[in-house]
Amino acid sequence: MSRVYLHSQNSYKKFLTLLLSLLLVFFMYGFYKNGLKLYLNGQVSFFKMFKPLFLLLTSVSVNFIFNRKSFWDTPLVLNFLSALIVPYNVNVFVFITILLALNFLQKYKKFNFISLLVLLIILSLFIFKDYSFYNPFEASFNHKYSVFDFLMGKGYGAIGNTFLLFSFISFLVLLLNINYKKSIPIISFSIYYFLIIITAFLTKNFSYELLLNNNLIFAFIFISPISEYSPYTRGGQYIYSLLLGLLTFAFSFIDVNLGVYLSLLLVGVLSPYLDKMITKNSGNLIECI
Amino acid sequence: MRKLVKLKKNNALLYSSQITEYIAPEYIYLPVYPKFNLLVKNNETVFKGQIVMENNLNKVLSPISGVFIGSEKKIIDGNVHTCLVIQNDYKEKKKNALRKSTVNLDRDKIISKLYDFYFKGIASTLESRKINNLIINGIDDEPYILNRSYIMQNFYKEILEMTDILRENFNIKNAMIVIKNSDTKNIETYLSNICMYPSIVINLVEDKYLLGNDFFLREEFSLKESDTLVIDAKTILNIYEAVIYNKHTLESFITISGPMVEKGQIVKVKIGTSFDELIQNVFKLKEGKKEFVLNGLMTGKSIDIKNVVISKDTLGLIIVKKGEEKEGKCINCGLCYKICPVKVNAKKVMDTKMISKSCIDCGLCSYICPCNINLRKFLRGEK
Repeated sequence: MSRVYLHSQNSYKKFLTLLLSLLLVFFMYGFYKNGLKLYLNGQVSFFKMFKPLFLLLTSVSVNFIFNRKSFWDTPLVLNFLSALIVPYNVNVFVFITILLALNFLQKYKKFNFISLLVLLIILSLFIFKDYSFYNPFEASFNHKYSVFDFLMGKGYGAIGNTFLLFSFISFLVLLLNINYKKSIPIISFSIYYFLIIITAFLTKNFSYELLLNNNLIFAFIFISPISEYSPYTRGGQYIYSLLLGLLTFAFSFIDVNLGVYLSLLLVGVLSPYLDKMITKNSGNLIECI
Repeated sequence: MRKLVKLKKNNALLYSSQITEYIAPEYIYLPVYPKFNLLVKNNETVFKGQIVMENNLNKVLSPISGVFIGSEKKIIDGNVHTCLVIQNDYKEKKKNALRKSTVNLDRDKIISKLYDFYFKGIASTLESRKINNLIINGIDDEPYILNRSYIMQNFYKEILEMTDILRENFNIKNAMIVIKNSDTKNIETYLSNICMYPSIVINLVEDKYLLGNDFFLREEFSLKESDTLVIDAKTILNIYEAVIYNKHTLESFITISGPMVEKGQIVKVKIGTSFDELIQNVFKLKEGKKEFVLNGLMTGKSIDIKNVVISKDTLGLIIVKKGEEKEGKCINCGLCYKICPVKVNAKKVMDTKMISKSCIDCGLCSYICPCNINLRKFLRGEK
């Protein structure tokens, strides 16, 4: 059998390790902001202080249950991300139920369930009339954040995605990795920011919340380019990121937090078809005899 | 322009600084191709350079003198062939003694010699086209295979002389010697000797994979195929020996190297020598399970050396540690498609189980795959 005996140092396992290390920093900051700090302020009980940790351990355990044979693989990143991108108000039992259901469905059809998970959780919060991305401290008074506040992670967002400065650092680190589909976040960011800035100039209504939204930035950097669920062709990636930027901008008029996940879900469904469309007449392929 | 890549190599591998000779093998195996007439009989004595088989277009010559003792099945260039077996008498007897060409060379004489000594492709190109650019390719593509580099180093006089003869007789405007910019020994050698040939230039290229291929090398210099002739180091040396000394190509240069060899060497061998005999007599291998990869780690094939015979197209043998590589699942990264120099969609080939007509079998898709998927297998239509 023909084989290649020389391999580049490029390894997906190494990339996953890098990704998880970066996410671990987000988790640690999330634990500080949404656990320790709240407890020290007397806004949550000692037990509730460990909610971020509990969510993370749950998601990693769920990954272990469903992906025992290939634990160190993409589903681990998805499950890890799940614990970081849900709102603080999430009901733990609802979170576990949805996570189990989505991991179960993964056994039959591989898909990027992150967006669906967040959307279902937002839906459940709507039902319980508790939809908000504020933690108890942020919900207790009206805030006006400066850019510096946003960068240092004081802005509102999900449990573990508010450390904006580290989001940008992570983005720079990931841009240097060959496995990271950099064109997707770059184009999505460019389209989204271009439209937002144009709109801001036209309407003379400028909002940092649309520019520095933690959910949006985190989702563009970490969720949109997940290799297995985004196109592999250059053309496919361009269309995918263009649509992502446009849809996120369009949905931002309704709700920017919900909008980014909704657009991710929609473009995620289109992803395989984009590759098929791009590679339809390429390759000079013939039947194997 | 295409974006070619530099391959990761293990620079700790040792090589002997000289070319080793193994030109007295016990047996020689010559493949019997279809429609060839056999000109020798069992137990008949054959001379070195004697024609043992022929058809309308080609002739097969014996690289040694000895006795034709029968036939045996052997593997040559990956295919099983029935081979003539000639037992060496170690006398190197020739019918006609070789002599240096005394006649003055001109265009027609060179072309006629090239036809006589089976350099038909080059002969017809020089005869039918006006060549403006002559490239002497001293670049080895395969990592750890250093045949061209060593030939360039050890036979620089012959190479420069032949290049100049071709340039002068065929009115070639640009004659260039191409070597890697990392090949310091050759750079030094050619810089010191090029002054004798003011019309030949040295061109250095980056150490990138596939630049040893004629097509990509021409593209690197933005030269047209119609007026450019690329000749590799081994061929120009063989042409020199044919044109100047009337000598047929009966020997070849191969590299034996790899992590399981004590010291890699470039060996001059008789065409038709068995690998098994060569390894046993010349090399010291390290302890442990070994895998023998014929013709390089990127485009080669794992072989059982017992039955494999060296042909004129054999590049070498890389001996690596045997081990199963765990393949992962495709993660849709698209790196195989991105890196492919001829833009073959390896992922689509893998998914559809079709084969590509454009694939040049360079192995880059498998090299870059972060999940270690053997895409080369799919591209070659193997299941």
